[in-house]
Amino acid sequence: MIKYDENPANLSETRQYEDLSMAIVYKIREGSKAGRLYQKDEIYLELMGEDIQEGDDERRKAFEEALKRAIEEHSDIKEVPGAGGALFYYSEEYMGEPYVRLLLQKQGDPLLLIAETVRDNSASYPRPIPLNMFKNPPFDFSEEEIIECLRQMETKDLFRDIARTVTSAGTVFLYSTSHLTPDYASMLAEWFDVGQFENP
Amino acid sequence: MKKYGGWAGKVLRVNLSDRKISIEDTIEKYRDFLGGTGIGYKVFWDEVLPGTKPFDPENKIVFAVGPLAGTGAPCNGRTAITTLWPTCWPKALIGTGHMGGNFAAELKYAGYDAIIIEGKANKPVWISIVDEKVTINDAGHIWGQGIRRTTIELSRILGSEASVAAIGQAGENLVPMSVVMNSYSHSAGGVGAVMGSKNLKAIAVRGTGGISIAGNREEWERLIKYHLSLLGANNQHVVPNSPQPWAEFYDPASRWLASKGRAWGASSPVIETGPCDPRDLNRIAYRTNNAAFYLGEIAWKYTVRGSGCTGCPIRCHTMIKIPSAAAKYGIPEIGMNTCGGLNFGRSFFRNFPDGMRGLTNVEACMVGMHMADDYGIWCNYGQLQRDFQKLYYEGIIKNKLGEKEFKSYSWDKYEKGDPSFLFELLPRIAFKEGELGTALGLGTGAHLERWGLSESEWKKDPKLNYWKMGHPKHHSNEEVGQCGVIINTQYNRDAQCHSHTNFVRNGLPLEVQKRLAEEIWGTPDAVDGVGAYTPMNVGKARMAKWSLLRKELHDSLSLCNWMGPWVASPLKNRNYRGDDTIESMLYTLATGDRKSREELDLIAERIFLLHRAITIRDMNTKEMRKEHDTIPDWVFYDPQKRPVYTKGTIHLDPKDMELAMDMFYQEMGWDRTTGAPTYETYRKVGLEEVAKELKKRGLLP
Repeated sequence: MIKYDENPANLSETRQYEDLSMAIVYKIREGSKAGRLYQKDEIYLELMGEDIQEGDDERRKAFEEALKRAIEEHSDIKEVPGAGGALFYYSEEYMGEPYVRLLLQKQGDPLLLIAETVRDNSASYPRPIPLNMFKNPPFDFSEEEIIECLRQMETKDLFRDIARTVTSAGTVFLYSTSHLTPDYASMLAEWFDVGQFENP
Repeated sequence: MKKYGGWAGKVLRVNLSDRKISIEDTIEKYRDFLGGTGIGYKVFWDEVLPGTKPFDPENKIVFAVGPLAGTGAPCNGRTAITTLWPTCWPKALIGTGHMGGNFAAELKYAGYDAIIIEGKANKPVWISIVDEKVTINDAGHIWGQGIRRTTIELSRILGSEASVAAIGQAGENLVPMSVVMNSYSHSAGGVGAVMGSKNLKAIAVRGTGGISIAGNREEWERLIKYHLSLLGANNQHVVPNSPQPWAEFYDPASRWLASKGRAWGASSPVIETGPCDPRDLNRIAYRTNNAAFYLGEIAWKYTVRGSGCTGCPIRCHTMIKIPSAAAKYGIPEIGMNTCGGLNFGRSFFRNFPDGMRGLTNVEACMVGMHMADDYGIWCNYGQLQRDFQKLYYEGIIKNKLGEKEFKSYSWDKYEKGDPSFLFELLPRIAFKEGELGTALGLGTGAHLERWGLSESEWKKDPKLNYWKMGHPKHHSNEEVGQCGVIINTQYNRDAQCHSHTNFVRNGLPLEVQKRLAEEIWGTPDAVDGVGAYTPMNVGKARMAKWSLLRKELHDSLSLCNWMGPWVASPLKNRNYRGDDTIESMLYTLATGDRKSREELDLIAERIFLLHRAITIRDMNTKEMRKEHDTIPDWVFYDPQKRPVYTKGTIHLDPKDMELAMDMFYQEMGWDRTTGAPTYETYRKVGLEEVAKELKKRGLLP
């Protein structure tokens, strides 16, 4: 077993863990609390202080074993494939599956991320959602990016169900026509954007 | 007599006419009514005769708190104030106002569960309460001053830890639309002028004692932590406003605004609110930012911190710092309040030069908030501002004022959304200057009467939110369908009930809400999606009854009904269940009087029925269904003439609402024809003497 303290690049907050697998668990959990999915090489870099491709075989092997043990011994630590097959790690104790899904979608097609989020909201709550929500984490789109995404969506059949409604205050909401009628979406958007503030 | 925890044990009675100060035993006289509104209603049933008017010396004011006020129970800062309501029209009837802040706890620490104010002082006075020492003092030096100056002056005398409940010039001048306020920003509307009519400027309280908890200390502390774990953000919104790592759900309409990247920009250093995992009980106070919720994203950079009541981690009063407002308008740069207070100034305007969520809206908030909270003007849950807009934009103000008075206002400023217009309007309300100021200060009912306008017109306009008896709706069919409508028929002012809205607005998906509804009210059909209403069913009637009883229970225990009940929670591992027994657990441990949820609900029903009985007695009619529990026309109106129950409409069917009232009365055990409780129902809740008195008066069905 590699003693974690042997690693010159260790981080002060994880010194308490002598076992490397515990350091990995800690790293993943902290990442999840902060809304971050970790890839293997990112964990390696942060804990071992070197690029995984450049590490010596013994250290890499020890790391792989520690990671495996972290998953086996800690039921909250999960491995999930992202777009392109890369593996990501998170703690389901601190990050829920919906957020993981958003983060993975974010790494793929932004149009799909917006469309799926809109559809999910229209189907399950049900409600339209304000365009501005996509400026917040984990989306973090700029105004220009959102406008560009919407422009592109208008040209693709895949997104024909994504529609807009504008409230009396001028706020744009998105909804899916597969789940909400225009009339209902319009009423709900007006309620969320204007009505609820007049009924505090 | 058995010694109970929770209660302070004494009720203070102050007669301002003969300056007699006396003490009563809370347990002996009021335990069956818990505290708060329960004590208030009991006093009014026993002591205030029908026909008494709000400003008569014979009217009383009861400031009352409950056995949980000042304890460690979360959200325990509410003081209930009961009196004959001066804006209730055409006849003043019993009503209650509720203020948060530190007054409730301080009153308990001084040794009192309630103060009953009676009579009328022959000159302005203020009441000083420092533990056992209670004095009536000359208020000559503070009469004519605003609430802020009054608070400072009395705090100089009693010390900075005292809580001062004061009226401003509006209350002194007997403006019905006036408040009493404590702790800088915590007000109860409608009460100011009743205090003014008694020449009572303020009550200042300093308590140095404590409250004993009857139960085991460790068990009590475990219960408090358990209760804290069930809390959401303001209004018990249990999901965050945007996706968070820990959250399965989110809702852009939620008041749980905390998130990575959202920070209190005017604090030093700047504090990021962060994801606020609900398991971290030390970060509950970061969840809510009502300034950002109401004023818009712009408010984040002006936010200093949250503020609020004793014992409440929610901090629904947000403190903001707006240097530009201070520079432009000569007002303090820092202010704080929650929904009604933050909206007071801005709601007069239809637009602002930089949009409804720009800096001018924030400045209008600051100007309105500082003036209203100093003069002590009440908004009647926004009806003042809605009335004002309608009256102006429909040309009624111009028609009703003389040319000279009309021209004395800068209407161009008003139309442009210039906050300085408020300097012209609000003082005239507080000082009853001119026709407009005087009329607006009367409250909607008396104002309409004075100007020869028809209340029925107000009842037709859905944008006005007007309900009945001079007051607006308070969470009705716009979000809770038939249940909301039923609740709004029951009081003599706006209903102030949040039990139902806190559930339907909690942010959980409809499917989850329906699952919880089935557990609480026996059927998932008790709740509908907003604007996707279905015909009436028994679950909705049960929900209405439960909501009303929980409101009265909270108002009597001093738990905040703006936060409770706690039947949903942010906790996934509980399947988002809250706990419907939290009130009975807190009550039992605090007082030592073991009561189940059902037993406590029976007391709540007793309190609610006493309010009903006083209303029946004072209206001198048992025909409550026809004469009191009325519904405005706009509830049944859809501008697009769509059929009821079409998704996207909130209007309801008159016949279905008749059925709804039938089912509600049946749930309550009331006579369906008259809407009056029966003898048996009064007897069942322990009010047989009340039933006998009503029978004598011919007021039983």
